[in-house]
Amino acid sequence: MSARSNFISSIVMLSVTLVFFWQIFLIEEDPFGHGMDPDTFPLSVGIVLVALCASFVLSSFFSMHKGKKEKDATMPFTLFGRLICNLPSELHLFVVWVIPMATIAFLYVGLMTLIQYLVPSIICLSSTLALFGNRGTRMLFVIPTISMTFYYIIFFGILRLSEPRGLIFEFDNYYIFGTLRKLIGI
Amino acid sequence: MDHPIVDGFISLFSSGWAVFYAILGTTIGLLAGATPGLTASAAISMIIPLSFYLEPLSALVFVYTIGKSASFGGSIPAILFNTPGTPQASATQIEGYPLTRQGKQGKALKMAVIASAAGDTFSECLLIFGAAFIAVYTARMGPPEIFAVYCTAFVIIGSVIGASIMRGLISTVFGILLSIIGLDPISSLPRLTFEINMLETGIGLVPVLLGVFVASEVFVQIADRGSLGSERMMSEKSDVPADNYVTWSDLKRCLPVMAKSTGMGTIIGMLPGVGASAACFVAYAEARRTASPGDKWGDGEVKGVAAAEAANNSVSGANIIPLLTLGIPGSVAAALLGGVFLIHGMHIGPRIFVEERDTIYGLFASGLLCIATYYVIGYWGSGLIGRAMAKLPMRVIYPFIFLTSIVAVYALRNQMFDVMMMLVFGFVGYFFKKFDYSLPAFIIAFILGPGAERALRQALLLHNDGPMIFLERPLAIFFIFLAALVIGIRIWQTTRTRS
Repeated sequence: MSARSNFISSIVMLSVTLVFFWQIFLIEEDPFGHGMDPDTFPLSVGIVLVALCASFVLSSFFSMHKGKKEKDATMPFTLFGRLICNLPSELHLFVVWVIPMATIAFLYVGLMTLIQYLVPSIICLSSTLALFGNRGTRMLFVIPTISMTFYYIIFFGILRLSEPRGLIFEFDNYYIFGTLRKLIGI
Repeated sequence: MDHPIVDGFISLFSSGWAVFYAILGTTIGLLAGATPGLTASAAISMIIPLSFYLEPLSALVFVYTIGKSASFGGSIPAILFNTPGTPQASATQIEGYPLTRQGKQGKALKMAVIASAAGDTFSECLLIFGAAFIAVYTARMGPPEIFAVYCTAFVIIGSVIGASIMRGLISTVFGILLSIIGLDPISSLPRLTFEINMLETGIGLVPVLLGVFVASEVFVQIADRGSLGSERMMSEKSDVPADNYVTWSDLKRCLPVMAKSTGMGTIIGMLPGVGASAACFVAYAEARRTASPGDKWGDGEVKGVAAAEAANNSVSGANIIPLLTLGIPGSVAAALLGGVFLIHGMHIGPRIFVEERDTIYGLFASGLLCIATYYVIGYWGSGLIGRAMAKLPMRVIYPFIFLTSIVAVYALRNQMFDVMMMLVFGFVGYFFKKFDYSLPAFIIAFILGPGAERALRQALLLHNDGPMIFLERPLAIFFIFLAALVIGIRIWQTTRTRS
């Protein structure tokens, strides 16, 4: 890891730790005084973590300034063919690939709360396959539809997983799956 | 013969399902290990939600056998494609792949499975015959000693796993901090919950596991799309029959190396957190250091494959010993197994040998069954698995893994909140991987955190001397000294390497 990467990661870790550290001070005191206070252990752990992160920030900061200043390789980030900015290569990978992947996942969760499991799963799998570089009707439509319908029958039909309620659309699968379960004797 | 392992076999074979899950777990573990990027931890994480629905022995057997066989499975792509399926197979590829390039992949794979089974069997026997003996002594330890053991484990896990001591320790302490989230176990007051009601029950183990092992791996793979489309090529087999199997003279040459590596792997496996990745390199380096004239180290030496495989598989039984005797797992797979014990209401610790005798020895018996199963599959079928892996389109597999993990995490409590947590921990895992923080240290600390707090509280409640109690107990002092010694040695090693 370069000193710059260490510095960035240590800053992130310190910031996250400080958010938790602030939460430690919001822990209420036990009115009945059962031995050790509820905040003693978190406080000890928090102090150790802040100390570790702070020393990592300092050490990586000094080693970053000691070493030769190397210009990071950058890559152009474009949107609809227009150059938005140049990003360091690691950040570029994160913005171009990881964020869309996570967005699909969060959209999937959102869509499931709106229209239940099946349709969002097909959309999500199709988008994920596309993001992974798969192309064509078979890969982006046929396989997601068949496989997710199969998943739906297995998990929600046979294993009786309860489907999240859909706010916009709700499909009552009780009769279909009830008949199916009767047919296979479970 | 009147040993509990006999009852263990009876317990295992009286349940047809447990035998079925042992064989299924072994097969899944082999395939998961042989799939580069899909570790045993990821496979186990995806199986854990299912284990809720199984009877305790079947659930434990399922998880245990996946972890065991994945260790050997990782050597298949390491030998055939120079890509280790699991981190512990990294040392195998050094000598294994050159053998493949000479057309001797059959010999390398067969030696790998022989060495793996030999190392694993020794380690399993030590577990069967030695763990209860150690438990007799650890049962006498009180809360101060147990807390000192936890502290030592945290220091070893944090400072030994990974390249950087600082990042390792930060990962460990961060894991402990996140394990505190939820209601205080004594006063039931909320701690670090950010006023989110769903966090009052704490962060579930399964969303964390699926996030850091599965979602983060999918994020890493999508960011590294270049390697996904590349097809792997199988090398041509040699026409010389002796190149395709292990000859008696090969075996005679490798036996001393296998024995030494098994011993090393077993000892390393008993140390919390150090794990198979370290064991295989230590054993490989030692075998190479004591090379005989005429050995072809670096150009395809079958002794190197035997050393690395015997060492990394002998870890898998030994790292259950600290889990069962002290409640401290030796590796991530052991920590996940510990999670399954807790899910089924079994308290890990020395008393488990009395309270859950049949289940524990049934689990050990399944370990032996697993070794026999992966030996048979590995000896005759690893070439076939390799050919399947060569054709496996990873860019189709990862989206399915991702979707399955989402369903698995949702299935646990039917809560979308768990899915959100999984994605959040996917980011945490991605960050840890990209910036070289230690995910194993984080997970082990996350699982051990509540136990450490419980031991500390018990120690302080039982005695009026406050923290001084730790200095009044010789065993506690010994463990604290051990922790200081380990971290001192690591700092000294790092400074020496830098200078």
